[in-house]
Amino acid sequence: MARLRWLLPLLLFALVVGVYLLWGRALALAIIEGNGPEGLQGLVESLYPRLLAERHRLDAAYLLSKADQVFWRTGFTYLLGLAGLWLWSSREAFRRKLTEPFAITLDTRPYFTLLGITMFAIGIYVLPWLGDFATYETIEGFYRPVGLLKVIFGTYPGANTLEWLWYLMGWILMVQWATCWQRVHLRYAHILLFLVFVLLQGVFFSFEKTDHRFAPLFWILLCLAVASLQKPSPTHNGQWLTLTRLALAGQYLFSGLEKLFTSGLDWAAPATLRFHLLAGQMPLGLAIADMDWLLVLMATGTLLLQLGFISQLWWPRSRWWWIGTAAAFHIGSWLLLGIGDLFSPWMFALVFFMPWERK
Amino acid sequence: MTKTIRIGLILIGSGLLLPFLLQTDLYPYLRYGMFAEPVQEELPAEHFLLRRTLSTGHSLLLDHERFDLEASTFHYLCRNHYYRGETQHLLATLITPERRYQEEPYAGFALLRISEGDTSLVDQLTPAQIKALWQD
Repeated sequence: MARLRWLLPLLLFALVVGVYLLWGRALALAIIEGNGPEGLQGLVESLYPRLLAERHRLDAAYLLSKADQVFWRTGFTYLLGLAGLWLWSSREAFRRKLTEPFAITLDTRPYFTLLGITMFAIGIYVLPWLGDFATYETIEGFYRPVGLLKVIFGTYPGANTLEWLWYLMGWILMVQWATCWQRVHLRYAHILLFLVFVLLQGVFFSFEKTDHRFAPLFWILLCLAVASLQKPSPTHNGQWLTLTRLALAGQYLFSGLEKLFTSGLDWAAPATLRFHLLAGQMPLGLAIADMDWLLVLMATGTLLLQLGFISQLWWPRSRWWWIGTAAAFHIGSWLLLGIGDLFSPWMFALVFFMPWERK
Repeated sequence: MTKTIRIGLILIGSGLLLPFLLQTDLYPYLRYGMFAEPVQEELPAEHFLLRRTLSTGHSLLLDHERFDLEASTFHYLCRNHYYRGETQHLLATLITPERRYQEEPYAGFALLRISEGDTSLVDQLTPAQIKALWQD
């Protein structure tokens, strides 16, 4: 009976795969060509608005492979979740190892030091935003509000309003930075800071282009907002640190998985990196563009870094290796491809992986 | 593990997983698929520029710097409007900040597409349209 309990979800998976291969792909193709059932067509186009543009730019077979990806990724996650559930319910050692990173403790002093550094760094990173609001006002015709901004700011709110919000964010950051040295816990300030940050970030995203540079700051502020609902204590601070590390390392993991799912191991072939090096036109990048062995080495290293970075949460003795490799990766991306710079938020995020916790 | 940390775990799990499954950004959650695509040599590289013409006949090509935008944002906007067939909207929006440079309306404002060495005129605003936009 216990075996049947795990066999049924597997049979269900096999059934869904069969249905997709027999009928699902044909339906996906109809949607790609704009001939799908009305409701479903609208749903897909609202979830993936780029389809309207990509349909004319890319052929249907390529877009159908995207639909296949959605299906297989869901299947992979389902099977992985199932395996995780099985291990969780049947293996005590697995359960203990999985929750081990949440057992660390972080004392008050390093907690507030880390918080102070974070507030200062975020303040520096959002400084240039102040000049952008007026620039975007001149092209407000492109404004297409994303998510909840459709309700909050249906039309471009204007540089003045946004500047006021920016000053509010700056004020919270300064107060938090100052109070960190007094070790004062500001519960609702963290939540307000997160909300204003997300709101302002949303305004930029409403001009169609999504900027990934600030993704680590979003996760850091989200974790801070959630954890700040509870008073700091060494145990709680430790859990907050692990939560933040998990979110930051998760970005590396999902970047690696995206590469594997989209391109497979072929991503490590020299042609991939060479293409990006030539597009980047950086002197150092152009100098190595013909060295196939080096391109394979760097691409393989990137995959290993992105997939393996998260492992340090369970094997903390390897942390300096991963921090160093990630720093080298970001410096390399900057020098070879012209992406980011030495002080990008991704570099700052590595600070969270340093040994702040109690030994 | 406290309740707030559990909430955080759910938010992180869903925030990383949903864009991965649906292969799209879901504000405020992002997909991390940059540079993940296989190289497609057959896909032509394309580039967009704007051309403004004065009543004297003098022309000037404008790129992202003219609008204080990052190159990637400018290109993204141009490309999306081009493939959606909304180039009139693109031109009407991008001519707005141009009014700060001179009082007299331009004689022409056009979108150019450069692909595989060829430059083609995609769309343009008529002098009457430009005049109307200048007076807005």
